[in-house]
Amino acid sequence: MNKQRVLIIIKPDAVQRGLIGEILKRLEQVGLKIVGLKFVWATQDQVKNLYPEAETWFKKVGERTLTNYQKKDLDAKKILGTDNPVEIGKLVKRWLINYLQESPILCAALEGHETVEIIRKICGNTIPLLAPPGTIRGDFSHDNIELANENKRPLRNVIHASDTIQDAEKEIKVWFTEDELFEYERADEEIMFGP
Amino acid sequence: MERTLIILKPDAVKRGLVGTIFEYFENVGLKLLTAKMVKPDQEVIKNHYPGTKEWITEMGQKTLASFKQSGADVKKTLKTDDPTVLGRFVYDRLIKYWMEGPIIVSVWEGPHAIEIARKIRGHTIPYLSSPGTIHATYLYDSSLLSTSLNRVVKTFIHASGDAAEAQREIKYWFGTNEFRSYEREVDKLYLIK
Repeated sequence: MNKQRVLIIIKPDAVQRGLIGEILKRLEQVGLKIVGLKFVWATQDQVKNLYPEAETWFKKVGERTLTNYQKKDLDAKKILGTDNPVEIGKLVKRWLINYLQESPILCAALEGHETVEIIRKICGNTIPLLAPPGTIRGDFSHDNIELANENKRPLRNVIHASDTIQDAEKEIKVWFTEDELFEYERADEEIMFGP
Repeated sequence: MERTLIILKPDAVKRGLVGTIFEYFENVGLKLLTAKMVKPDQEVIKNHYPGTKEWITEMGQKTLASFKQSGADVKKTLKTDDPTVLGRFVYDRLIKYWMEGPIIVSVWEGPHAIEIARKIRGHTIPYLSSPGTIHATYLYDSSLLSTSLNRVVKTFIHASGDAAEAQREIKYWFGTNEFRSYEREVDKLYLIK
C-alpha cells in the first residue's frame, strides 16, 4: 500500500478558539505522521490556490447560495448586488480568501496509508451541521450554509483537507518546499503497520 | 505581553504528541504566534545554547551534582570529574539528542508567558517534575537512567528561562521578534479593561 501525503489546514475559527492541539491530536492518534508543519499568515495567492477557479465551480456555489436565498425569501440582488450564480460564486470565493486570512493558520503535511480517506473520515462532512459526532467538524461546530449565506460570510468549517491525492500533491507544494518536509519513523509505526 | 520559545524535541514528535502538548499551552490561554517543523544541523543546535565557557562549566557542575545525588562515580563512568571537560561532553551528547529527528519550534504569547510555560512543562528533568506537568505526565527520564545508558537526559520540551533568553532564542530561530498578533476567544474576557 502506497504511502500518501495530504495537506491539512487548521482554519482561523479553530485557531482563534484554541483548538489547534486538540485537532492535531486527533490526527496524530490514528497514526498519521506530521512530516511538515508551519503556523503562518497565508498570502492571497496561497489561499486562492485552495479553491477552484473554474466557471463550473463558481456556478455550483452560486446556485447553492441562490437556492438558500429563495428558500428564505431573500433577495440576492438586493443583498449581494447580483443574482448571477457565477458572480455569486466568485463573491463566495472572495469571502473564503478573507476568512483564511483572519488569523494565522496551521498547515501540516500528514503522511499515512490511504491518507485522503482516513483524514476525510476524521474531519467529517464539510458542512459542520451535517458532520457526525466524533468527527472534527461535527464535534467543534454546527455551522451551516444557510446561516453562512444569510450572514454574507463563508462557511466556517474548522479544517481544510485535500480532497484527492492529486490536490494533495499540488497543495503541499504550495505550502511547503522540499526541505520543509521530513522523513522519520514514529515510535509506534512498526507496531501499527510493520510486517 | 510576554513571549516565550517552546521547542518540542524529537522524541515528543516521534511519539505523536505535538497536538497534545500544544493543547496544554492553548488551554491556559497562550497564543501561538508562529511555529515550524525543522531538522536543524549540528551548528544550528549548538548555537541555540550560549556555549560560553562559563555556561559549559556550569553544565558540567550540574552533571557532577546529579552524579553525587545519585551516588554514582562520575570519574569511573565518564573518565573525568573536571566540570569544563564534563560540560563539553554533555554538550556534544545534547546536540546528538536534538538530531534524532525533526523538532517543532514555536513562539507563544500571553501574560507571564515565560513562567506559565515553565510551570506547565515542569522541571527540566522529567523524573523531578511535579504531577500534572507535561514532563511528569509523559516521561520518566532521569539523570541516573540517562547516565546508565550513555546519553543525556531527554528533556522533551524546551521553554525559555527568562525574558532575555526568550528574546534571544526567538530571534535566533525565526530571525525576527516581530509577529503580527490576532485575537483569541479568551482575549476579550481577560485582556481588556
